[in-house]
Amino acid sequence: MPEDPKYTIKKIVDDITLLKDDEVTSAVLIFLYHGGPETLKELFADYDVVVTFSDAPATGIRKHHEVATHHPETYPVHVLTIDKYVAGVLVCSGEAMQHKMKGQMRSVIEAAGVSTGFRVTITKETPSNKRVGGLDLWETTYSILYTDM
Amino acid sequence: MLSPSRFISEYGEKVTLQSRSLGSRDAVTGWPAITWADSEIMMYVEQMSTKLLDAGGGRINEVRLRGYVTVGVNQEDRAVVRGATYKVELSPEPFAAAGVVVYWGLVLLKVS
Repeated sequence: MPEDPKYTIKKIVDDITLLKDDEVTSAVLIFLYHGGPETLKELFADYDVVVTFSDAPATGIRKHHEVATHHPETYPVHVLTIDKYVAGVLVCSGEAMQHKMKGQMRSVIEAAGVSTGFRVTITKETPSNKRVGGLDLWETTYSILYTDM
Repeated sequence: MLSPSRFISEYGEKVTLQSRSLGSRDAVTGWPAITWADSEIMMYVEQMSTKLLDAGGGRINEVRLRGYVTVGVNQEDRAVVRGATYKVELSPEPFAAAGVVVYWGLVLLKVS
Protein backbone atom coordinates (compact mmCIF):
# COMPACT_ATOMS: atom_id res chain seq x y z
CA MET A 1 0.00 0.00 0.00
CA PRO A 2 1.46 3.41 -0.92
CA GLU A 3 2.34 5.82 1.88
CA ASP A 4 -0.38 8.30 2.91
CA PRO A 5 0.62 11.61 1.25
CA LYS A 6 -0.38 13.39 4.48
CA TYR A 7 2.38 11.45 6.23
CA THR A 8 4.81 12.18 3.38
CA ILE A 9 4.16 15.92 3.80
CA LYS A 10 4.47 15.64 7.58
CA LYS A 11 7.90 13.98 7.18
CA ILE A 12 9.03 16.81 4.88
CA VAL A 13 7.81 19.55 7.22
CA ASP A 14 8.87 18.09 10.57
CA ASP A 15 12.54 18.80 9.86
CA ILE A 16 11.84 22.49 10.50
CA THR A 17 13.53 24.11 13.49
CA LEU A 18 13.07 27.70 14.69
CA LEU A 19 14.54 30.10 17.25
CA LYS A 20 12.54 32.13 19.73
CA ASP A 21 12.47 35.96 19.73
CA ASP A 22 15.93 36.16 21.34
CA GLU A 23 17.37 34.36 18.27
CA VAL A 24 19.32 32.06 20.59
CA THR A 25 16.85 29.73 22.30
CA SER A 26 15.30 26.96 20.24
CA ALA A 27 11.52 27.05 19.95
CA VAL A 28 9.67 23.80 20.65
CA LEU A 29 7.57 22.63 17.72
CA ILE A 30 5.04 19.81 17.52
CA PHE A 31 3.91 18.20 14.25
CA LEU A 32 0.76 16.10 14.41
CA TYR A 33 -2.32 15.04 12.50
CA HIS A 34 -5.41 17.16 13.01
CA GLY A 35 -7.91 15.63 15.44
CA GLY A 36 -5.79 14.32 18.33
CA PRO A 37 -7.00 14.10 21.92
CA GLU A 38 -5.37 17.33 23.13
CA THR A 39 -6.84 20.81 22.94
CA LEU A 40 -4.80 23.72 21.60
CA LYS A 41 -4.59 25.11 25.13
CA GLU A 42 -2.98 21.86 26.30
CA LEU A 43 -0.60 21.80 23.32
CA PHE A 44 0.51 25.41 23.83
CA ALA A 45 1.33 24.60 27.48
CA ASP A 46 4.22 22.47 26.15
CA TYR A 47 4.95 23.79 22.64
CA ASP A 48 5.62 27.16 20.98
CA VAL A 49 4.44 26.24 17.48
CA VAL A 50 1.73 23.70 16.67
CA VAL A 51 1.62 22.30 13.13
CA THR A 52 -1.35 20.11 12.18
CA PHE A 53 -1.97 18.10 9.01
CA SER A 54 -5.48 17.61 7.64
CA ASP A 55 -6.92 15.35 4.96
CA ALA A 56 -7.18 16.63 1.40
CA PRO A 57 -10.11 17.26 -0.88
CA ALA A 58 -9.41 15.97 -4.41
CA THR A 59 -10.87 16.57 -7.85
CA GLY A 60 -10.61 14.12 -10.73
CA ILE A 61 -9.05 15.62 -13.86
CA ARG A 62 -7.57 14.59 -17.24
CA LYS A 63 -10.71 12.72 -18.20
CA HIS A 64 -10.53 9.97 -20.77
CA HIS A 65 -13.98 8.91 -22.01
CA GLU A 66 -15.47 10.79 -19.02
CA VAL A 67 -13.32 8.83 -16.55
CA ALA A 68 -10.85 10.88 -14.47
CA THR A 69 -7.33 9.53 -14.75
CA HIS A 70 -5.62 11.89 -12.32
CA HIS A 71 -6.54 13.00 -8.78
CA PRO A 72 -4.30 15.79 -7.49
CA GLU A 73 -4.90 16.45 -3.80
CA THR A 74 -4.42 19.69 -1.88
CA TYR A 75 -3.41 19.03 1.73
CA PRO A 76 -4.02 21.77 4.31
CA VAL A 77 -1.16 22.25 6.77
CA HIS A 78 -2.06 24.55 9.67
CA VAL A 79 0.66 26.48 11.50
CA LEU A 80 -0.64 27.80 14.83
CA THR A 81 1.13 30.20 17.18
CA ILE A 82 0.32 32.37 20.20
CA ASP A 83 2.23 34.95 22.21
CA LYS A 84 4.09 33.07 24.92
CA TYR A 85 5.30 34.71 28.10
CA VAL A 86 7.76 33.64 30.80
CA ALA A 87 7.45 35.59 34.07
CA GLY A 88 5.52 38.30 32.27
CA VAL A 89 8.10 38.70 29.48
CA LEU A 90 7.17 37.94 25.88
CA VAL A 91 9.66 35.29 24.72
CA CYS A 92 7.92 33.90 21.70
CA SER A 93 5.77 36.23 19.64
CA GLY A 94 2.98 34.55 17.67
CA GLU A 95 3.34 36.90 14.74
CA ALA A 96 7.15 36.64 14.57
CA MET A 97 7.00 32.85 14.70
CA GLN A 98 4.56 32.86 11.78
CA HIS A 99 6.98 34.94 9.76
CA LYS A 100 9.84 32.55 10.52
CA MET A 101 7.68 29.54 9.72
CA LYS A 102 6.68 31.05 6.37
CA GLY A 103 10.30 31.13 5.22
CA GLN A 104 10.93 27.61 6.49
CA MET A 105 7.75 26.15 4.96
CA ARG A 106 8.56 27.61 1.56
CA SER A 107 12.12 26.40 1.80
CA VAL A 108 11.43 22.76 2.78
CA ILE A 109 8.52 22.34 0.36
CA GLU A 110 10.55 23.85 -2.47
CA ALA A 111 13.49 21.55 -1.63
CA ALA A 112 11.21 18.51 -1.67
CA GLY A 113 9.52 19.90 -4.84
CA VAL A 114 10.09 17.14 -7.33
CA SER A 115 10.96 13.95 -5.48
CA THR A 116 10.87 10.29 -6.41
CA GLY A 117 7.24 9.33 -6.94
CA PHE A 118 5.59 12.65 -6.12
CA ARG A 119 5.62 16.39 -6.55
CA VAL A 120 4.66 18.94 -3.87
CA THR A 121 4.13 22.67 -4.10
CA ILE A 122 2.48 25.36 -1.98
CA THR A 123 -0.47 26.71 -3.97
CA LYS A 124 -1.89 29.08 -1.36
CA GLU A 125 -1.05 30.59 2.05
CA THR A 126 -3.96 31.85 4.13
CA PRO A 127 -2.98 33.81 7.26
CA SER A 128 -5.45 34.77 9.98
CA ASN A 129 -5.55 36.11 13.52
CA LYS A 130 -8.51 35.25 15.71
CA ARG A 131 -9.56 35.05 19.32
CA VAL A 132 -10.79 31.57 20.11
CA GLY A 133 -11.85 30.62 23.62
CA GLY A 134 -9.43 33.04 25.27
CA LEU A 135 -6.54 32.21 22.92
CA ASP A 136 -5.22 35.00 20.69
CA LEU A 137 -4.33 32.69 17.86
CA TRP A 138 -2.27 33.27 14.72
CA GLU A 139 -2.88 30.66 12.08
CA THR A 140 -1.57 30.24 8.55
CA THR A 141 -3.00 27.48 6.41
CA TYR A 142 -0.62 26.27 3.70
CA SER A 143 -2.40 24.48 0.85
CA ILE A 144 0.07 21.91 -0.45
CA LEU A 145 -0.68 20.33 -3.79
CA TYR A 146 0.48 16.72 -3.86
CA THR A 147 0.69 14.95 -7.20
CA ASP A 148 1.72 11.36 -7.84
CA MET A 149 4.30 10.97 -10.59
CA MET B 1 -28.94 20.17 57.30
CA LEU B 2 -26.53 17.69 55.71
CA SER B 3 -23.14 18.93 54.58
CA PRO B 4 -22.56 18.60 50.78
CA SER B 5 -20.02 15.80 51.27
CA ARG B 6 -22.38 13.87 53.55
CA PHE B 7 -25.29 14.47 51.17
CA ILE B 8 -23.23 13.07 48.26
CA SER B 9 -22.05 10.06 50.27
CA GLU B 10 -25.60 9.27 51.51
CA TYR B 11 -27.68 10.03 48.43
CA GLY B 12 -25.08 9.58 45.69
CA GLU B 13 -24.15 6.39 43.91
CA LYS B 14 -20.94 4.47 43.25
CA VAL B 15 -19.42 5.48 39.95
CA THR B 16 -16.24 4.26 38.27
CA LEU B 17 -14.06 7.28 37.52
CA GLN B 18 -11.64 6.69 34.63
CA SER B 19 -8.89 9.30 34.96
CA ARG B 20 -7.19 10.13 31.67
CA SER B 21 -3.38 10.25 31.22
CA LEU B 22 -1.50 11.04 28.04
CA GLY B 23 1.59 9.01 27.17
CA SER B 24 4.16 8.82 24.40
CA ARG B 25 3.37 10.11 20.92
CA ASP B 26 2.67 7.95 17.90
CA ALA B 27 5.41 8.30 15.25
CA VAL B 28 2.92 8.73 12.40
CA THR B 29 0.01 10.74 13.81
CA GLY B 30 1.89 12.61 16.55
CA TRP B 31 -1.00 11.90 18.90
CA PRO B 32 -0.25 10.79 22.47
CA ALA B 33 -1.37 7.39 23.72
CA ILE B 34 -4.27 7.60 26.17
CA THR B 35 -4.47 5.46 29.28
CA TRP B 36 -7.24 5.30 31.85
CA ALA B 37 -6.86 4.64 35.59
CA ASP B 38 -10.02 3.35 37.27
CA SER B 39 -11.13 4.34 40.75
CA GLU B 40 -14.44 4.20 42.58
CA ILE B 41 -16.03 7.45 43.75
CA MET B 42 -19.39 8.63 45.05
CA MET B 43 -21.38 10.91 42.76
CA TYR B 44 -24.82 12.43 43.10
CA VAL B 45 -26.29 12.21 39.60
CA GLU B 46 -29.32 13.81 37.99
CA GLN B 47 -30.68 13.90 34.45
CA MET B 48 -29.89 17.07 32.55
CA SER B 49 -30.82 16.87 28.87
CA THR B 50 -31.11 14.71 25.80
CA LYS B 51 -30.83 15.89 22.23
CA LEU B 52 -31.11 14.18 18.84
CA LEU B 53 -28.64 15.62 16.33
CA ASP B 54 -27.96 15.10 12.64
CA ALA B 55 -24.20 14.57 12.40
CA GLY B 56 -24.01 14.61 8.62
CA GLY B 57 -23.50 10.93 7.94
CA GLY B 58 -26.07 9.85 10.52
CA ARG B 59 -27.99 10.77 13.65
CA ILE B 60 -26.66 10.72 17.19
CA ASN B 61 -28.36 11.04 20.56
CA GLU B 62 -26.56 13.18 23.14
CA VAL B 63 -27.43 12.48 26.78
CA ARG B 64 -26.16 14.79 29.50
CA LEU B 65 -26.10 14.24 33.24
CA ARG B 66 -25.26 16.68 36.00
CA GLY B 67 -23.00 15.18 38.67
CA TYR B 68 -21.69 16.32 42.05
CA VAL B 69 -18.52 14.90 43.59
CA THR B 70 -16.22 15.53 46.51
CA VAL B 71 -13.01 14.48 44.74
CA GLY B 72 -11.04 16.13 41.94
CA VAL B 73 -12.14 15.17 38.43
CA ASN B 74 -10.71 16.58 35.18
CA GLN B 75 -12.24 17.55 31.89
CA GLU B 76 -11.95 14.62 29.41
CA ASP B 77 -11.94 12.02 32.21
CA ARG B 78 -14.68 9.41 31.90
CA ALA B 79 -17.24 8.09 34.36
CA VAL B 80 -19.13 4.82 34.18
CA VAL B 81 -22.61 5.55 35.54
CA ARG B 82 -25.13 2.69 35.76
CA GLY B 83 -23.14 0.69 33.21
CA ALA B 84 -22.85 3.48 30.63
CA THR B 85 -19.65 5.42 29.93
CA TYR B 86 -19.84 9.22 29.95
CA LYS B 87 -17.20 11.84 29.19
CA VAL B 88 -16.61 14.76 31.59
CA GLU B 89 -17.60 17.55 29.23
CA LEU B 90 -17.08 20.68 31.30
CA SER B 91 -14.27 21.48 33.67
CA PRO B 92 -15.63 20.63 37.11
CA GLU B 93 -16.96 23.74 38.84
CA PRO B 94 -15.80 24.13 42.45
CA PHE B 95 -18.22 25.16 45.19
CA ALA B 96 -16.65 26.57 48.34
CA ALA B 97 -17.73 27.15 51.91
CA ALA B 98 -15.67 29.50 54.09
CA GLY B 99 -13.04 29.64 51.36
CA VAL B 100 -12.57 25.88 51.10
CA VAL B 101 -13.82 23.84 48.14
CA VAL B 102 -16.25 21.25 49.48
CA TYR B 103 -17.65 19.77 46.28
CA TRP B 104 -17.53 20.07 42.48
CA GLY B 105 -20.34 20.13 39.95
CA LEU B 106 -19.72 18.65 36.51
CA VAL B 107 -21.51 17.81 33.28
CA LEU B 108 -21.26 14.31 31.82
CA LEU B 109 -21.93 13.54 28.16
CA LYS B 110 -22.76 10.27 26.44
CA VAL B 111 -23.40 9.79 22.75
CA SER B 112 -25.61 6.92 21.68
